[in-house]
Amino acid sequence: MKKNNPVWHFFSSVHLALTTLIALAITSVIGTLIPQGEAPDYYYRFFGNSIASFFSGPGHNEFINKFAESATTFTRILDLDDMYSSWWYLSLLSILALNLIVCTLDRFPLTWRLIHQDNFKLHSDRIAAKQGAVHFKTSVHFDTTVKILNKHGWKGEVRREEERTIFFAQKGRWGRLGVYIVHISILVIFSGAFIGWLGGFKATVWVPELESVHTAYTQKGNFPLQLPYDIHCNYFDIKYYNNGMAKEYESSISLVQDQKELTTQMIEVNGPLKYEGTTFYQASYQPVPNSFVITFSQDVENTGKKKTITEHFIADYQQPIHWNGMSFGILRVLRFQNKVKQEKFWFKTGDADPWEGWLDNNVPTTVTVDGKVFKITVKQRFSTGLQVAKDPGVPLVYLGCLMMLAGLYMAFFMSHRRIWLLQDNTDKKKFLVLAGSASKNKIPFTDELKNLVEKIQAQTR
Amino acid sequence: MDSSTLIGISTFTSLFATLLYGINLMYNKLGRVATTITAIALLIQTTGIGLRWIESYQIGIGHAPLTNMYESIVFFAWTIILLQLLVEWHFKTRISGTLNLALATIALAWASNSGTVQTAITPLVPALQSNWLVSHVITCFIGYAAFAMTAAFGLLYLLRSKGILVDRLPELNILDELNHKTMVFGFIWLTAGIISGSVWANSAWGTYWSWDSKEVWSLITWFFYAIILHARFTRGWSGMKIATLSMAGLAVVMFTYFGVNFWLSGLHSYGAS
Repeated sequence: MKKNNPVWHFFSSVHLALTTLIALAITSVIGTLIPQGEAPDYYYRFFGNSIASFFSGPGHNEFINKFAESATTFTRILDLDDMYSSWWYLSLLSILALNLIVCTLDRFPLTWRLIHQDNFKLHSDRIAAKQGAVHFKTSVHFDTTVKILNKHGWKGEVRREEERTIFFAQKGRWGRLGVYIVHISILVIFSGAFIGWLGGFKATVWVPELESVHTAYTQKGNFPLQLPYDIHCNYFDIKYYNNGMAKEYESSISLVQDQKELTTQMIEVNGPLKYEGTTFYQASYQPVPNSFVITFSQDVENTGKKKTITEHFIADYQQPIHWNGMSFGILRVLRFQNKVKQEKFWFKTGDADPWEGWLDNNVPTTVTVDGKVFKITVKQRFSTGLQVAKDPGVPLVYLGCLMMLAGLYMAFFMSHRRIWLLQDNTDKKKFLVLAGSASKNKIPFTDELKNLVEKIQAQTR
Repeated sequence: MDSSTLIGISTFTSLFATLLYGINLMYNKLGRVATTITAIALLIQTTGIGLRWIESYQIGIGHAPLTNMYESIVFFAWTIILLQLLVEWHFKTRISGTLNLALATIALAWASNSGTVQTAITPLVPALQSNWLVSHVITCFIGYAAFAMTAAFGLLYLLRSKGILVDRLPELNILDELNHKTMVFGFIWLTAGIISGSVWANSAWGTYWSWDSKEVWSLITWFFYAIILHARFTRGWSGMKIATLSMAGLAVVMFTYFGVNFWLSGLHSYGAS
């Protein structure tokens, strides 16, 4: 019934698989030539500039504008600015998926029968006619021969019939499943991607140091996304190489819900924070202009117990801060290659004269004023750029990847090898026939058969 | 002696090995010498790469020498030479030696002398500071090298079928088989390379696939070889068609490797200098 259905036939055909793969390979190129996800007016300029580079000189402007206009319209109609999620690209992927499903259902039963078939049922003539079958006369007893075969890794069964005695052994029959595992692995990856699309999100959030933010913006469409907790940035630090390149940057991030701290962790590029299925990646950073973080640390002795009080302040350029009877602030800043190197800090407590001095950026400095010792750190304030992602489909995608590798290995490297040893009991001369078949690597397998015969013949000498 | 001197010496050693393999291919002579010189070239190059690794630590920016265009080309050449020796040992044939060593020599010479490729050891941007770097680069490059090998067997097939070197080259069906075996090998490693890249991207950026141009081109390459393999398994394609396609395949691979970095923008732009 299935075989005669033209729709079934169409979707199970290899023609369709090849056509779809070719279509995918060719169309995929487009998105690498046309920049993706830009604003509409970008494309007008993009096409204009691209075509203009071919027609230098005056007199072509009208043509160039016309080309840019129609190319932009065409891009909009076919979603070429977001082609990998366009209706037609997703349709191609769906056709591929459908093709894989129908193809598997169509061919799998046959393969399953091949794996489980009774190989003793094969007619003697069919066995003897196998490619590379070796017919040989031997005085070695059938059972001894079987033992030799066993010794060389061919473990199987003997079946004694009236007219013939037959030994059969096989290796690597499950390799025949490899191709199906590869095909199914693609479907598994697709379903992982679908689950991620359904139940996941990817968003960006900027959190200035010592502030909390709970709205992230989706990467696609820039929609606001309310998180169930506040993201608080406790600290951000960046280190540079001697040539000024960023070496590493890290943030201390806390997730806070109803004044309760859920978790706190240092994150860096390649070292994210994971919390209940949502992951926070260090993606970017930028300095907050004219804003600084001042950290005050003081050892206090309170009824014999030593304690360190640490307090952080956001300080704007040249704006004094008053706290606990003290006043302090940033007077001037020394920059080198756009990076803050030193801050001139002033600090007054009690009736003593104010203290003034240059402090290295983000280096703790001990300052003694009015007989009290303070440890002070002044640093440029940064905003940390985080990528917030949730993708419940990832485990499935990874499972699919593992299946694909395992399946490819089975499909390419596991050969289903079968051998038969046959004795015709009606024949007085006691001819033995050793025959075999391999699903791949046929040439070495034939050599292996010949080799086995030599081992058997050696017994007679 | 510094690493670039050693890599320079290995370039000349590879050139010498190319010539020896050429003589071997034409006159069936000096086969063992060619293999020995190739092994020496590999040894010198391995030392060079190792030394470069040490040098990067000495200047305080220690990382595996797999992070810019120069280092990647050197590693590409290294993988081709290694694969050539493995193929020789496994399949007992030296016929692909000339083409592979020539490719390795050209790659090495271009990397060191073209001027478009920076040879200096550069510090690592934070995104590349990951344990996935080494496994991603190695898996991809074994794939690339295997596809170069496949194209070499494809070209030899074309030569043989045009009546060139008939006495020296194996039967067409054996060349076809060698082409297929190396293609299959490359396909698995390319798959592993794409997967390791996805896993890395997911652990660094939270998305395993972002349709970046390098990703798309690696997928196009994957499609390309998947098409060839299906054409062989199910349509019975072999011989001339496959040989030609496998040479075209190398062009796709090379575009994925170089072209994307030079002409297209994207996440892998750090590999362009």
